[in-house]
Amino acid sequence: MIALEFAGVTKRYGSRPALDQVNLAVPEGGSVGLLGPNGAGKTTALRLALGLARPSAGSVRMRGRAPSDPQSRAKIGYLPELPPFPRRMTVGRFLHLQAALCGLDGRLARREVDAALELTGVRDRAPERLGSLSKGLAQRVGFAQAFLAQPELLILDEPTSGLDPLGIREARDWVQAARDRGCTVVVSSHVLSEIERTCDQIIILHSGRVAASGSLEQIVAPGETLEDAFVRVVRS
Amino acid sequence: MTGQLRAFGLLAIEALRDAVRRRLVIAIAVLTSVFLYGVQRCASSAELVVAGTDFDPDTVNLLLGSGLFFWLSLAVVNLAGLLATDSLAEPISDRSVVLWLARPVSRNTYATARLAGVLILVVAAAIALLGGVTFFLRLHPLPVGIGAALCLLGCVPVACFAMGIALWVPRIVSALLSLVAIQVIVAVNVAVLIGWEPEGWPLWLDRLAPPLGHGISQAVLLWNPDFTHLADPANVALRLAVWAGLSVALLLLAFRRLELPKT
Repeated sequence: MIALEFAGVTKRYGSRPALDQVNLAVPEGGSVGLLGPNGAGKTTALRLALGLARPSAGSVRMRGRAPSDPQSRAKIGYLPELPPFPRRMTVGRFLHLQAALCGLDGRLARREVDAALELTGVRDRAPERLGSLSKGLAQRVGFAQAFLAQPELLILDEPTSGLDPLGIREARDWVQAARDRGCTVVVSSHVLSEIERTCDQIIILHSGRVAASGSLEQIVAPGETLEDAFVRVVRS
Repeated sequence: MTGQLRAFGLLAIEALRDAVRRRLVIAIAVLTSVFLYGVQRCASSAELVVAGTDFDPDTVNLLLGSGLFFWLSLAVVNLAGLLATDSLAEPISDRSVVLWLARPVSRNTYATARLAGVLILVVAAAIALLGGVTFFLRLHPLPVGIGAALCLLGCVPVACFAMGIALWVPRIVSALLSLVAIQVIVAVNVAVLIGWEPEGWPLWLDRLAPPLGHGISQAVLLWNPDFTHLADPANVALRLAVWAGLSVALLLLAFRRLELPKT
């Protein structure tokens, strides 16, 4: 089963194409890293997958459904870049509401929220307002909300942004734990080492097109690092 | 469907809690309390003054009450426009809308929940203000009920248009446009009620725009025996209901077509 599929997807902002005839398929249980220079279309691709923007041409299917269908987002965990939290809400209230929107009730919701707070190390921040959190803590809360309700597909946009080295290592472990339970992971990042450690498939976007895709072994030539391969693909 | 209803309830409650956190509820409650205290003092003073004259206290209360009822109804409609301006525009401008819509929540559910949050607040303010005036001035409850219902029905298109306009223009501009539009429509409607025969755009505005002024004037017309024949609450209710349905549909259409976060 395909978790996320783009078929001939083009997205234009005015006359500028942000994505141009993109085809990609993420199998269930897979982990895919979206790489690309700034403006390559990585975030646009994630927005299209979540139904936040509409493709100008082509079609997007998430777990077999159109993104406009709310059920396509059931069992999805999404971490946007620099999570845009409602500033006046407390961490605890925000996570409880997110859990409730995932369909969890009462005790089950409390248990899920407690587990997510515990996992991401922000349990003692539950009564604090989201607007008062530092960048790193906000990112941890972002992970906590993405991990609620045992997601089957995780979509992470620049997941290590704002985290310290310890946090980066922890985040890697959280994502790996999700993968171990069979969760599909799609990560968009500039940090090549993170992609290298987290993903088994790589898609390099450049100027809105898929410049290269495949496993690490297929993309990285012998004697090359992922960075070398990335630069080679983008420059060519 | 059940999932969307549940999400609607959760998000509507959250919209109300958001208003509480922004201290809007406290501000409205304080203003309402101060105002009602003034009305209560005014009502008791009116009885004292009337005691030494030939005026009937009930007549004074009716005159005072109908004037107050009209202005308070207008204030409630304006409040709907002001509250609605921020309701959908704020989560879009701070991008937090993305986190809610990444859950299995449809855009229709999200927008109607935000609208419901505004309308619940407006209904509470209307009950406190119009109910308080009715109680202190001993007004007849039937015209009050009809007037309040039409006033609240008029709040729906006002809130929808304020929310919709704020999707495209800065919130302050949206608030000002809403306030100006409400005052112009009400002024034209009332002028027509008291005998003005408009031509050109005021005529079309009176016939085609949401009849806000006609709505909030119905209670006053029903109270006054000289004007009762001008009252037509059923027709006004029908026009307002059509506008309410149309405006909700337009708001949902506009929100569904919006690319998020706005770039």
